[in-house]
Amino acid sequence: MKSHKQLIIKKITQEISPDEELILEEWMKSNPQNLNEFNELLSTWNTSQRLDKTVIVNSEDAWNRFKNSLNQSSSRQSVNIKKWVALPVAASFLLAILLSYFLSFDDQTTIQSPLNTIQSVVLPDSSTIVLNAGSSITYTSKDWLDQRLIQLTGEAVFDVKKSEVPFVVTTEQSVTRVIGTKFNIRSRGFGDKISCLEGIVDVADMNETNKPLRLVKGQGAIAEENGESFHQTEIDLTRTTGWIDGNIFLSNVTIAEALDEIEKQFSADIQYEGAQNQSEYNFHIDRNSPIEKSLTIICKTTQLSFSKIDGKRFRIYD
Amino acid sequence: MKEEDELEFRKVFEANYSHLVNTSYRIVGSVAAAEDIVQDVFMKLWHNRKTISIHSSVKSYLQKAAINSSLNYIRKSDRHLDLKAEHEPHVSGPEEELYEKELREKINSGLQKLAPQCRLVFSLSRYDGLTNTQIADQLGISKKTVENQIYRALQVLRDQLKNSKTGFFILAIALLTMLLSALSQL
Repeated sequence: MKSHKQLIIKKITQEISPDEELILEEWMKSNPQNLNEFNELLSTWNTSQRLDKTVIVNSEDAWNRFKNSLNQSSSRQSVNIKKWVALPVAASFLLAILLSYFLSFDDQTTIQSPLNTIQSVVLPDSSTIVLNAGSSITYTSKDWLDQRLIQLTGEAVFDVKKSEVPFVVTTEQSVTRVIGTKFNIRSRGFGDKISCLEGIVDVADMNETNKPLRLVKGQGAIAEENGESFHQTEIDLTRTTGWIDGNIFLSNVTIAEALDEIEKQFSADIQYEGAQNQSEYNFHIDRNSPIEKSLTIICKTTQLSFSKIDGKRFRIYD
Repeated sequence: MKEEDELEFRKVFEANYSHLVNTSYRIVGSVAAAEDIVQDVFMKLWHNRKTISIHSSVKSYLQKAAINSSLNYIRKSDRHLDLKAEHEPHVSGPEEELYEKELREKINSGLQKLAPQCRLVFSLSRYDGLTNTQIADQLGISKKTVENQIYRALQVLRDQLKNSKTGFFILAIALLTMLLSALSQL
């Protein structure tokens, strides 16, 4: 019998076998404290990534130094070392845990990911959710195994454990229903996009004015605001979940939606001045580079300009 | 140097250098030593490039070599891993960055609290992406020990992160709210 410590670490480092996973799930189900312990350690693991790069080196200088010593030259160039400054950082995962802990008195659990932070959540049935920055979910943990209902604001990818109990995600615009599968929902207040990554996903618009859609892998559904339109689309699997690694690909979005995403990813404040361009574009936001890179891409595409006001405040104009 | 060779080699160098220096730095705790070690690793690769047979990828060969050399370095010099030594203050930015800095420092000081081997195991797992088996092989310890040490490291880091002003504040509010809701039930 392996101790739960090793199972937790195997799960976190993704080296767990299916048999061991079952044991771990049993252990987590057996006591809310256990589930809590697991979630805390997983959050710590995620947060600890902030320190992945401590030293920044100039590889051109380093190369010159290397070449010099190859040529047996005694003149060693000094190497320019800049210390890593200000990684984009998480805020309080603790908030989420404590909040969910004491909100459970009310049976309702709400987990909110802070700005510029991606957060993983494990549900009581071991289904997992990865929340994009500035997103939140609410569910009832008490009778989770009898009814798997979740409210979502923002964007998240769901990896749902198979069960006879349907897993239902509700947003302002749509209702997504699955049995056990993997899918991504983007609901940032600019209409919804539901993308099926595995298995089968059923989607209805909020008022059920249109026929529900059944999606298979590679298909998506778009529910425009106020039920104006509800239709099927093709999706790119890798790009859809690129946000988990910091590559956010937005297709057919307005400038306003792209800027809103940048604000959430970088915890920034962007003022969009002048006539609002309502055309739709495709954008790539790179969370791992400075915010200026993403703003430059957007401005180039849309022929706008941007300037820095101070800190993380920017101005976009014609 | 032949020019084609050099071009090819430079690509490999530039693609891996920064990552390897960070890997080595986490083990030896000195930027200067880490750079020396990594330069040396590339030097060996250059001299043996005709004869060396690399079974996996160049990247994992380099990583293995850098980790080995770094471990040898600390064994030889009997140095303790000390990341604190070169922790230089950075220019303060806007307020959010201060908070970010605080969090980063929390993680760093959490790492300082760990026993050297525990820190090493955790770094290899978290920042160098080695599997538990690879770490066990590399350090000559059992896989079970690796898992236990990562667990221990996460516990310490978790407590370190909780032990922040924000944490106390939230905890205080949470307790207060619980108290009030309990009172209102009476």
